[in-house]
Amino acid sequence: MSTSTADIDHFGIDITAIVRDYWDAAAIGDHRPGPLDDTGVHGQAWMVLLSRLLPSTRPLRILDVGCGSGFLTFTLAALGHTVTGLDVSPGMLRVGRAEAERRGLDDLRLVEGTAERPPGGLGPLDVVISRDLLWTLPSPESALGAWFDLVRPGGKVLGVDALRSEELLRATTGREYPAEVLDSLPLLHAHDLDPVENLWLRSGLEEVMVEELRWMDAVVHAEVPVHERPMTRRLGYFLVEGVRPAR
Amino acid sequence: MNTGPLGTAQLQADMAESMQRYWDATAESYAGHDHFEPDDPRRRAWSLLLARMFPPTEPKKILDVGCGSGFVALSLAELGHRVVGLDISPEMLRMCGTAAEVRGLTNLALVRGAAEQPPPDLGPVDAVISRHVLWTLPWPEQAVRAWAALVRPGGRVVAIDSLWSPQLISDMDDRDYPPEVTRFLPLLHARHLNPARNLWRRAGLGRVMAERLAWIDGVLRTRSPAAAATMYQNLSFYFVEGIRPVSPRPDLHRGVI
Repeated sequence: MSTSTADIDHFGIDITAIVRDYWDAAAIGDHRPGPLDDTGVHGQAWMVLLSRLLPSTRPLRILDVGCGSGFLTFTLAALGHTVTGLDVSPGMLRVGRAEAERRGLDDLRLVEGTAERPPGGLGPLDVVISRDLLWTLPSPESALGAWFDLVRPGGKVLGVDALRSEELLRATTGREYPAEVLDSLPLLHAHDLDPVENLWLRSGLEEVMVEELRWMDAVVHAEVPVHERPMTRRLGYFLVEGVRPAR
Repeated sequence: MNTGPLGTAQLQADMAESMQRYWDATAESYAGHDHFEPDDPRRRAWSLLLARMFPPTEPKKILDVGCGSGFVALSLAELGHRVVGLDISPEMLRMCGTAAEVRGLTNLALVRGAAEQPPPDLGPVDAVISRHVLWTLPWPEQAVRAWAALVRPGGRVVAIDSLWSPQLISDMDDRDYPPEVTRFLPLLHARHLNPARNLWRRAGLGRVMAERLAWIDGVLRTRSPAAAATMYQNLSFYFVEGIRPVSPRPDLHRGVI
């Protein structure tokens, strides 16, 4: 993966490598993921949301794309589903694997790879899900194409992410990703849900639905430490979902 | 019987208990809140709305889910429909029954049960309606699926609810709804109609429509006493409706993923 040159764009910038390095550093640095609190109110909120959107009485085969250190992966596993986590960052996966081991989740798979070109052997799946990933994809259409191919006919592709205010973007420019990466992320700059809905529609998914998750905004805002609230106030969570046509 | 999704049985049971306790404790004050006298222009507006949705010239069998003290159920019965009112709270049902007696209505039956899990033998009906129920539900998809299952193919599922101003939501406290439930309510916090529309689509209903009831808002804001008028400034009513398809497409949203 690390020696792949396939992600270098036609301006010669390997965005995937920059993104991977950023998250590897984050996994051990100041942005190290906090405790995976999936028992608190925030964890409960995700349990409620996921059980609403995946109303199955039997376990589903789910791929969590951009799983990071595994918050969503563990929440889905706690709901009883069979989950595989996929992430570009080996550093994040290490954090996730240590947590999986601590919890005794032996059959949880955490694999390395990109959202746009996932490794083989992952499908067919009932659901492909991502959380806080769409914004960081330089080529979201390729990712949706790959996810479409991974779910079985009738399966669901689900994304949860947030719209960010101009103000928040200006305040963080260059601090997270370098400016040339931020410049090339189409969904990071979205002001409304049309680009996201269109992304799902363009991939051939049907029954496409988008909606703002104002209640999740309120939960996140109330749960983060007070110094993070100026940031969370400028995030607007949303969901997008669609179904691969049966034929 | 747990018909809920995988892994959330305990969370659902805890929240259901909080909600039941709340509604039982609230029955009396709630009935007073929405009680309009027969000649009240606000009651007239609501009745005109319901008559547009369910014309008295075409009498139907209608289930009013979460009927409370009977705001919708009584109006529909007065329009000549055969109505069944369903509510979780025995106290609410008692008040609704009394009001029906006072008005001499014999075409209204009352049943105790939860909005999310209505007794299956209540169907098939021509339509299911609810008013100010959606916002109270942490798992609204489950409820709408259950309502869709109760209407006959070709029948309608209709709900009336309102978008709440952020101010009104932040003013809510445990007298208004249990806080441990309030924070998870998708429709209470919604600012647009998409979340409601999507519930109907996820339930497999067809011809889904949603619209703001600016007309009702206008009547409530201009024809209410000052305190209530201020409250109505912070609410905007809407409805959402859909039809149960005669031949549904196989679809994962309804729990058969």
